[in-house]
Amino acid sequence: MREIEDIRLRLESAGELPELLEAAWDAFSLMLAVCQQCEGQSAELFAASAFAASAAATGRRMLAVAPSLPPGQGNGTGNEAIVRHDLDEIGDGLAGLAHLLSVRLSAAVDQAADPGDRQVCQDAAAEAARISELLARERR
Amino acid sequence: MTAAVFGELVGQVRAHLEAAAGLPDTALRGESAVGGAWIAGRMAHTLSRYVADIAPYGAAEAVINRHLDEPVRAAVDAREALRMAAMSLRAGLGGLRNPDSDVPFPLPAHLSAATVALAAGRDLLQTHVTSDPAGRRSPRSDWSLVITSAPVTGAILAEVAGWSRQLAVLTARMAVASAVSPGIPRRVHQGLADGSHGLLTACAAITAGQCRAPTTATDMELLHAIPVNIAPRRQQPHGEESLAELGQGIATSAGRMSVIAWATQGEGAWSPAMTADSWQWAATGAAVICHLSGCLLRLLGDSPGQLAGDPVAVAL
Repeated sequence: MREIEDIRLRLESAGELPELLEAAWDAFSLMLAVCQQCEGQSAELFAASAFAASAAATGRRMLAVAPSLPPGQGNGTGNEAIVRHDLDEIGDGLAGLAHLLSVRLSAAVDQAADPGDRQVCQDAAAEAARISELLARERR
Repeated sequence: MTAAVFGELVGQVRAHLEAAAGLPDTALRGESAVGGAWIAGRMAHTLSRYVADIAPYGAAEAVINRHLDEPVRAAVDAREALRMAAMSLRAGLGGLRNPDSDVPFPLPAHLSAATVALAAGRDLLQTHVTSDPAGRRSPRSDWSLVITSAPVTGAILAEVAGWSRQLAVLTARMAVASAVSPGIPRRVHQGLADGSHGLLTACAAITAGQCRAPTTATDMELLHAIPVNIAPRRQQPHGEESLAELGQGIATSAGRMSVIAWATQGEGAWSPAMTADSWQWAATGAAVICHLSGCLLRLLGDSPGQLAGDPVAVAL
């Protein structure tokens, strides 16, 4: 999916913390939208998709209180992703994206000056790691 | 395995009291009467506690409170009579050794077993309520409303009246038998006679209080069906269960959840673990369980050949 690749590139290239948080917000939003759509498309992936969607919603809610999140970012409600591709391929893409998100947020914990940002990055990284684990191919 | 019910303990009380009643007078004398009197005192005390659970009012309050109905006033009278009976039985034994720790006689043995079953029955009923440090009681199961209902409290009182009467007759026989026993102090048979009188008074008070609304067989059946309120032992799935075992496992799990839900009722609102995220995760878990249940039902419904003849397959 092109949307997954776009967000991946943004996460990889994000330099400052606000930029990373903004990209992380969009990543969680995309994962939430895609997982919710996958729930209805595959009985086998329902459980993994539902739990991953729940974790994505939690991760995004955590980011909403980050002091360094650019204004206006926390007001959006989601992404209008449309799932048309192979579900296994999408699952792989989301698992990879969640892993990258977890790595970037974990790395940001030590770099963030504000204690509020540090806590948010730590908690949101844990949620991203959970999504990565849920959507890993060996778990599906 | 099904949970123990009150009726099973009633059966044990009845069996041991009847066995004691069937003993010849020669078995009610001497040391046997002394041991029997000790345990009869304990039994009268336990009976008074059954009645106190139903009528927790003071004797004076029962007289002046116009809002108490007739059976409750009668229960207060019965409770006082049972306490007096217990005191009389103990008073007659002052200074005598309690021989119930090494009872070689059938009378104390039967009375002891009946008393244990009686106390266990009250404990079983108490598992359905919880008391705070101030003594306020609150429900702890779906059965608690049944236990405090008029028909069931009436049935409990009727049982207490029956046990009191049986024990009264027995202690009266023990009083007569011990009166001719050499070496048994006069105060022992006097205590037995006074105790018997108190037990009969309790029986009469309860019976009189219930004359307008006597206990029916259905009320008694309901009382006897009350189960102990403890969580059944967890049944771990092993992957090779039959359909009947799966059904039993589901019923057991539901029973465990019911007990846990009541026990943790007051903790939910202020639990630090109860957050929006935890609710979301729990709701997702519930949705996944429903989804998997649907998958299982479809799978079972699509495979009737493998379940041919099974009533569950027919129902599906």
